[in-house]
Amino acid sequence: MINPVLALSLFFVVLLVVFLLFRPEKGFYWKFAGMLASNEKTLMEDVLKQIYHMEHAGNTGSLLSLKGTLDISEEKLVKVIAGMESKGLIRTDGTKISLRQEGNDYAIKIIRAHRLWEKYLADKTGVDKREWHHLAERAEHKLTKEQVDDLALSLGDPRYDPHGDPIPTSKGDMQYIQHVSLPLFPVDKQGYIVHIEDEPESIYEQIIAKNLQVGAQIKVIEANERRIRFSSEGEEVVLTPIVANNISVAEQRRSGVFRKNTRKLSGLKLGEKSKIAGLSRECRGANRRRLLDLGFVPGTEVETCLSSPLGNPRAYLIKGASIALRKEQADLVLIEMNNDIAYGN
Amino acid sequence: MEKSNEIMSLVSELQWEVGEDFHDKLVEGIYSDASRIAQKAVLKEDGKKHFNIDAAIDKVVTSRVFGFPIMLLLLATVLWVTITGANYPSAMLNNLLIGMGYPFLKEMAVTISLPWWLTGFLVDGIYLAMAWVIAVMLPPMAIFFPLFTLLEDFGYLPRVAFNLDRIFSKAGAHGKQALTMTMGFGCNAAGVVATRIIDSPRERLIAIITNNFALCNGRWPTQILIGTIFIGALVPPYLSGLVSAASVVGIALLGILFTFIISWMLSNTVLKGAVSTFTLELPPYRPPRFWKTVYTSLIDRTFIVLWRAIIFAAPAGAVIWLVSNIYIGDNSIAANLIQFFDGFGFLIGLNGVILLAYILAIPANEIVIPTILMLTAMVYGGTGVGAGEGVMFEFDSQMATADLLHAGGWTLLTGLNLMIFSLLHNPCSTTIYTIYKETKSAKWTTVASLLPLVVGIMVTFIIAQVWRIFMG
Repeated sequence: MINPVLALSLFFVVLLVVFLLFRPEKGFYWKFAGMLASNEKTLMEDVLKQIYHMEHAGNTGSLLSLKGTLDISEEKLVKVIAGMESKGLIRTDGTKISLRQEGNDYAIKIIRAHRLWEKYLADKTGVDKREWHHLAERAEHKLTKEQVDDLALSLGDPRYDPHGDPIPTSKGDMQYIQHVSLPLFPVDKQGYIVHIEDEPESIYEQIIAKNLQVGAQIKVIEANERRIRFSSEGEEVVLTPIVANNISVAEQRRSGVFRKNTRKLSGLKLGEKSKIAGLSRECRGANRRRLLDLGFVPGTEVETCLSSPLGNPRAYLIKGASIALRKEQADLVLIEMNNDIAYGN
Repeated sequence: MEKSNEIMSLVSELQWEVGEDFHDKLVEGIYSDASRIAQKAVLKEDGKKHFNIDAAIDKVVTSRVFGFPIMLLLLATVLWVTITGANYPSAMLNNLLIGMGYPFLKEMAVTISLPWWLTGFLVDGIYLAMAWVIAVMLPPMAIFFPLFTLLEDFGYLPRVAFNLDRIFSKAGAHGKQALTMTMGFGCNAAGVVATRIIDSPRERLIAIITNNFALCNGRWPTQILIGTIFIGALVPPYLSGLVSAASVVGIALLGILFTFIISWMLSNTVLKGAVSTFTLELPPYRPPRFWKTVYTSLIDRTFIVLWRAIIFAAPAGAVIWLVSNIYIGDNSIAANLIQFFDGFGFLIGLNGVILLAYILAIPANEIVIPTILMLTAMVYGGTGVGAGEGVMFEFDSQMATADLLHAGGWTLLTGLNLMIFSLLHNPCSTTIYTIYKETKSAKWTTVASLLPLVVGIMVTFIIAQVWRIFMG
């Protein structure tokens, strides 16, 4: 007979080891596997991408700035850069590092893979938006050109990723939408969010927490050094300028249709009626198709008819059928403001 | 060629112009047009009055005050009607198939002078296992499923999903899982089939994998018997009925707790990235079409499941008879296996007999107790009990069962852990087969089969060690 105390301790030790090895994200096994995957090629591609982004923002790359953003040892970085120079991807000039044509093309290829993968995660899977960037960082190094082209085809050759960044075409063309950061957008003018920067993570989290989405219509009410106050999809939001800086806004596009002032379906009280104005851009893939199938299309009359005993979900009467939606779904359905005055048209 | 290239580059240029929501706008436009055309073309009956009745019922069954009590009352009624209503026909079938049919077949075998081993194999093995499954399984299912289907047909069940969705969503599951879980109380295989009502792939998979944590009808008799013998016996006789019933309900509730824990774990780890949508239609109420419902639920649910169970139980009966009657050295295969499993069985507070019975009875939980009794009598020399080696049996009195089990070395710990292991072990082969048919995936079938078993072994192991530390 085995001593029960011994048996129990042994059991918990084994359990602990398994947990430490395989716990989601932080497990040693996953870390080890990740380390094996990050080889010379990965590092080189990351460096290329960084230089591209720096040049795109109007700065020049240097050893120091690269070391700061990539978080690797200087020794390793120097070795990688030397290798890249001999391959003809970059040229160095004193401390300045810049891309050659070949390096530029390579960087755009990686960016195409990254943004397409984010688009894929957003439309075809249920992966949370906080993880898109992280997963795409890994996928971009593994996908071959053929796989990327197939992916683009299966997604309908999209032009913008879910953050609002343009996806380069297979030939490398790409157009950015003319935009300014939110604090610089004129007060009282109708605009919409074209891009939300997903780095650094801490600021991205704050933006997500406010339910702000690419494509959302906004109007700045107040902007000064301390705070930016604006309305987004019928709700008022206040942000500090630092956070607001990571949101880019553009004026309504010429080709786009003016949407009337809207609010969220989840705000419609029991027994109240309104009309559907549209679905938020955040409502994607299978969810979006499902809601459209059920009749959540612009112009349809909708009424909140029931609330479950625990308050969520609630049922909405639409086209004579009673459909229950959870709050986070009803947040993505936009309805017209009551007594609303149409803008623009 | 030149021309087409020119066009293609123009297209590419324009694609940047139209923006990213172009496709959506197009789709929305098509839907809007379709609904406008439908509105003009389809004439609606004046359904105003009908709808008001619906709204009134909905107000009551989803209200903060009455919503949950009504739900619990209906569930309790369905279960009570099933359990008490099944008693009589079950006893009758038992009497007919085992009390009369079995001796009759034995006599006939003698008359046509079949060799003893063929009689054993066919009658003691195959026939008896099938008879047992039919007698225990058929009556409750023939009551439970039609009742359930009637509630479904009336339109009440979607409201249950509506009421409970908040709780299930916390575990990353769908409100409709409440329904498939309830169906699992009748039969896990039927519960797995019922997950078709969940249209979101991720939540459906969660519902399939966790369905086995709903204590099925094949396991209730085991729970009630062991609860009475071991837990009910702890208190004075006038309380024992209540306490043993409470222990069985406790096990069922433990199963629901595990449903939530495992659902939560699955949705936060392996199934994190799977596509998840939620929609729940609350259809208008309508008077159930009674006979049609009863007929279809009998054909679709009861008989299909029963048929699968019989197909799986027949070979199981044959194997049970064979391992008890084929000898290796001085002992039968069964005795050798029991000895082999005894060590591990002891470690998790059970014994070799129970483990062997659970392996032999993978096809059907209904024959676990008869197999345990037969094996115990065989190994611990309960002379004069049972009808011979490899012949499953049950006692008429619980006292006799208790005596045999105590003679087999069973303690309160064995009883308790058997109740827990009966809840937390692999699904029966009918259910496993059904899971495979529904998921079409060997990987998820394996997960669904082994996960409850691993959980069960861990839980019984911890209980056994803690018990031995504190109870000596």
